[in-house]
Amino acid sequence: MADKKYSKYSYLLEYVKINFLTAIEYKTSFFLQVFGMILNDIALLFFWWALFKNIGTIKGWSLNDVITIYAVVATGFGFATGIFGNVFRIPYLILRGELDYYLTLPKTPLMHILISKMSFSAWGDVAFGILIYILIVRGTVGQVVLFILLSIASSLIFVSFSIIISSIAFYYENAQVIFDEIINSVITFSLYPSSIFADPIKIILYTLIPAGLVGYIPAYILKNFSFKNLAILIGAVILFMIIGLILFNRGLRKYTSLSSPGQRI
Amino acid sequence: LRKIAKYIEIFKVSFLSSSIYSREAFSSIIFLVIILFIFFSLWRTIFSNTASIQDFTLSKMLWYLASTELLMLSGSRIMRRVDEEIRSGNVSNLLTKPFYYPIFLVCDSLGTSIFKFIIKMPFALILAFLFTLKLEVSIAGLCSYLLLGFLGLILDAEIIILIGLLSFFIEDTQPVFWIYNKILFTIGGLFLPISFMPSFFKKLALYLPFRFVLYNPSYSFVNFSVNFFLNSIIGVTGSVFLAFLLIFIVFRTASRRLSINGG
Repeated sequence: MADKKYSKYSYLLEYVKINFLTAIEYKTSFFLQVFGMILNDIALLFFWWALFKNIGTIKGWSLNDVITIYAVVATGFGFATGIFGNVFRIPYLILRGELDYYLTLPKTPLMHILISKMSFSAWGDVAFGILIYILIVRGTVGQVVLFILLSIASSLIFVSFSIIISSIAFYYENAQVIFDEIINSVITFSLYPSSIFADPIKIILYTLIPAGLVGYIPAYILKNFSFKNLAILIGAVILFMIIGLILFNRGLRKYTSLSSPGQRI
Repeated sequence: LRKIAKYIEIFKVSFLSSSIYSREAFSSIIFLVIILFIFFSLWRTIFSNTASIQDFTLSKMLWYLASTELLMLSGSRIMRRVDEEIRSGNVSNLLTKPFYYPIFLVCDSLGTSIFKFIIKMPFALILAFLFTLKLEVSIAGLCSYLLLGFLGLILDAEIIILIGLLSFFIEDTQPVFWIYNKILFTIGGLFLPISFMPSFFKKLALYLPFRFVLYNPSYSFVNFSVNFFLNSIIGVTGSVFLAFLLIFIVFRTASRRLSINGG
């Protein structure tokens, strides 16, 4: 029977704790990055606020609805990169042959890679997202709970999709450029209501570049709750996670170490 | 004349060396196309119920956005370099060179900015045309955009250099850069013309010089009038001189604090 103290997944919690302690150790850097993120978020909110002063609604979406999209994306993105801080570095690690370290250890490589780093600024996004949902949108306690759950779903789609795109790096050496462009597109598109786009673009935003699933759909569920939409979102999360896992593990068979010096042991 | 010639050479070298970084250029063009596509879609939806908002029609708005975003993505990124040169002490080597360091930085930054502007311009204009199916510009508007945009890029480079020079006094200049960047984003008119802003922010934007970087060139592009153009020329030229004066003062004060320990 596994020791309770060192169960199979206890290393995940240990990593989160260590990453947090590291962040706090560099206080100036930590708070500076959080400040930068919050500033960035405020600037975008200013745009929407000033825009809605001139117009009523955009295809039925009010300022509060758009802020909800923004809050979900900020919180989801924050969770994704705050906990799984290596999510953007997977192609880099593959291309530089730096997966060796993770492959020599007994833990599942993918989870270990994802969790071994933390983005400090991400916690600025999480704090900002939750705060604006509570203070501006003024959600009820139930809605806030649902908001956090939907943000977690949003972060899982984001992480799974990043893994899917990262897997290109096992086959193609210029994968980093493709990865950066696609991920940037997801983040950029996710901040706007999908209803402003033409139908063919919407289909892309729910499938190939799942920006609609990261921002619009969770916000739509908060606006007009239905179990059907919630089930669709959960189904999408599971589907993206399975595809990500399959592609990464298949790609891992193609992985060749570069025996690069300076490996972390 | 020889003094000017060496700065023109610095500009040329910077312009030509920018062409090496094709990856950055590619990424930047993709980002330009994506962001314009999103904002064009957003404004098309907003204008679907109305012919005009404030003094903008849909096509004017789309051409305005294409021109502000083009200038924004051509803006100076020299701050990090200034910061590193000061922090590493390399600035002491540069002070011995036969040029005035701040002017060297302006020319270097401008060379890169003009290169970025030229390679992105066709993409911004073609996308604006595809969405509007008309050329919402006059020859005078285009000329005024190019001239005011050029002066705006000089002003932008100067502000960035000023921020970089703050490294002599403060530990990290990154937050100051973020603040400047967000000023351009908000009251600088990047995505929203100043006339759309609530009255307090409108006044604030009109009193501050940041509108000369993006808003004035782009507004003149789509709504050309001789009066606005002349006011803009006076405003941006004054701001460029004022910014340079500030750079001169900050740089002189900072140079006195510089201690070279040899090695």
